[in-house]
Amino acid sequence: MPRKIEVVVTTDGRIEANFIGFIGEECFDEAEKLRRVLQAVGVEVDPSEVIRKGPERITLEAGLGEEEGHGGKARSGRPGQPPR
Amino acid sequence: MSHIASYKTKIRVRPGNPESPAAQSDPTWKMLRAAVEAAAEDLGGTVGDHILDYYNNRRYCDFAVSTPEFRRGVGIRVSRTTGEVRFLYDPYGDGRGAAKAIADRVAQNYMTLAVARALRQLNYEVEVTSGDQAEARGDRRDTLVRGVL
Repeated sequence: MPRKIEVVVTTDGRIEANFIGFIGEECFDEAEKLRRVLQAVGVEVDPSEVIRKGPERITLEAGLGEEEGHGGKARSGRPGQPPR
Repeated sequence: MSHIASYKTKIRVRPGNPESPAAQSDPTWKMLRAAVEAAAEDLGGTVGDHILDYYNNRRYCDFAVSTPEFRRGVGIRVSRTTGEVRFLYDPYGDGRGAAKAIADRVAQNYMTLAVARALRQLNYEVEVTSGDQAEARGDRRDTLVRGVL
């Protein structure tokens, strides 16, 4: 499954980043890299909420990734939204 | 493990004189200019160098966006020492929040450009879905920047 970051920029300039397909704690390292590069391009970010995904959500995303690989457009819900 | 993180943001461009050659070629200033111009175009407005307060006094800024909904304009001022970007407007009589909408659009445009640039720097293949497309679907006018490694 490819590693992806989906970032929603809200109408008031907040950002919500969804890290998909990262193994273990790798996603937190990637989030830190992204934070540093964002700072270099003029964006200071202050994390207000972090949600760790559960196994069900990760499995669901892995399944969607495989479907996308076959040209499908499978997606449930809006990207960047926390799980309900 | 993967996760979802929500961040509050602040724009901080390269400090200094915007007319200097360094600022002219600096990516943060270029993105700020592009964000301002796109906001003006989207909202049917123009870009200038000053705003008016309720009493028609001029206040000069690095950029200013005036639209048909808010003719006095929203100013964008950059701190010469810290680079922090601030919005300046006189909201008196702006019951519909048109001034805040201009400021929010500039900030959203800047964030979108900056996130796309940051992901490219991290070697992601980047695709941007504009807020217009979300709005057309009846959703909130959020933009989506998707990076695939």
